[in-house]
Amino acid sequence: MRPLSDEKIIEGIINKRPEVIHFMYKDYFPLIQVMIEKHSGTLEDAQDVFQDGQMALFLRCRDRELILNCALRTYFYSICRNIWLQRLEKKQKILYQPDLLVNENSEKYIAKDSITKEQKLERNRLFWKHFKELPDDCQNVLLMYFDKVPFRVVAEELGFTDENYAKVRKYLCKKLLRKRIKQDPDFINCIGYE
Amino acid sequence: MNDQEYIHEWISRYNEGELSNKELIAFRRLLEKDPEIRVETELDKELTEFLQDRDLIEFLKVLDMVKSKKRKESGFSCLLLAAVLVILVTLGCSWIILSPLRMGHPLMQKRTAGSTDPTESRSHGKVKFFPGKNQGFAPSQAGNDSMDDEFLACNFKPLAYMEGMVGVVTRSGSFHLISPEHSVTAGPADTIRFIWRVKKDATLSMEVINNRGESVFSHEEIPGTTMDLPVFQLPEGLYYWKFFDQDNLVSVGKIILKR
Repeated sequence: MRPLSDEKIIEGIINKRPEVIHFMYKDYFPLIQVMIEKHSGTLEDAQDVFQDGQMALFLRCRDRELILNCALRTYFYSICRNIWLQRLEKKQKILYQPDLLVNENSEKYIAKDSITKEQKLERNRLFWKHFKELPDDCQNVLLMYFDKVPFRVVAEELGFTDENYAKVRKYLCKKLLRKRIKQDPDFINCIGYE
Repeated sequence: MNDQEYIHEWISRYNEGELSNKELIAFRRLLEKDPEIRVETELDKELTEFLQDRDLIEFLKVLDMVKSKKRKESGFSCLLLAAVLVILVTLGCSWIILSPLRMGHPLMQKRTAGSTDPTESRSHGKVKFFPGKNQGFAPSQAGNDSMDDEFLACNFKPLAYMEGMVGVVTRSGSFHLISPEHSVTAGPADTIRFIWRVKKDATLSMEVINNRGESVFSHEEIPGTTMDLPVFQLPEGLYYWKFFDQDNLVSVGKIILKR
């Protein structure tokens, strides 16, 4: 695979081009893996952080928040490094300071904007993990509903008896999704709700 | 629908802006009172935001697609690596097992007329003895007994690659040895009689080597199904015999010759 310029990668990320994502996996992942493993992480951690890093990069590119003062590789590395260090810090807090409510530092920690973003990435990954495990019709009904497709059309497209059933199905699917997310052990780690 | 079901429905409708004013006031009151409903509502709100971000979902789909493709690729690479390893191990094992069978190796070396130059040979047609340089140690008439014993012991030292082959019958479809056993002990005056069954069109030959892999006897194109091996010319020691059908090794055995 030929090396891609930073501009091409950013453009590819915004346009969700698989070959660019693939290039990033090939070119950037080993770097991230070494960094995570050096900081007491596992291969699985590296994969999660890499995915979150890509998600963060995509959101920054899309929302025009990307200010690149260095090579993209360095930028991406620092995104992943921040994600991992914050996650590590949180893990250590959970391990060594279980009573977060009485810990002064924990308040500061949550107050940081970047932490909130990092938590959001983690939550998005959790949501996505459970969303893609839903039955196909559930995924479709939810996506169509949030694409503002009328229930009548949803019912027609998905072969439901009528639009009332489509409404009930949408409600049940979302409830099922929430239930599965809440049952996930990772949900507690990234909950952060007051 | 029970109360719980209603609450779940209200949570969804609240975050999707579908509650009427009256319902909204009632729900907000409920939110203030119940922290569990607050958490549930917060989760639902974030989930709704996530599901509304179709762009992000599409991006995550592509990420997953690339990841699974990569996993398949690495699975294939692992498979390929495993296959290569298996082939290498098989080749290595075959090489080790079959190396004695390779041409040029003493096990496969068949003496053919003119191919060797025995220092002294007694030929009976295609039968040849090589009693001179290829023989093991023969005790001197007036020698040192203890030294003789030591040297004699050398004559009985097993030849590693042949030991593993004793009793092994290879490509034996055409050949079945009836007598003697694959390991036979003989005295100086003995003649070892070999008896076998063989298919009609076989071209049998036989060779005897000593424990240093040197040929001491060979017989090409043996007629019939019996052959006598006179061992009186050979010094004490360990010998191995090999039967060939044309160029194929078909049977291996050993002779312990003791005076």
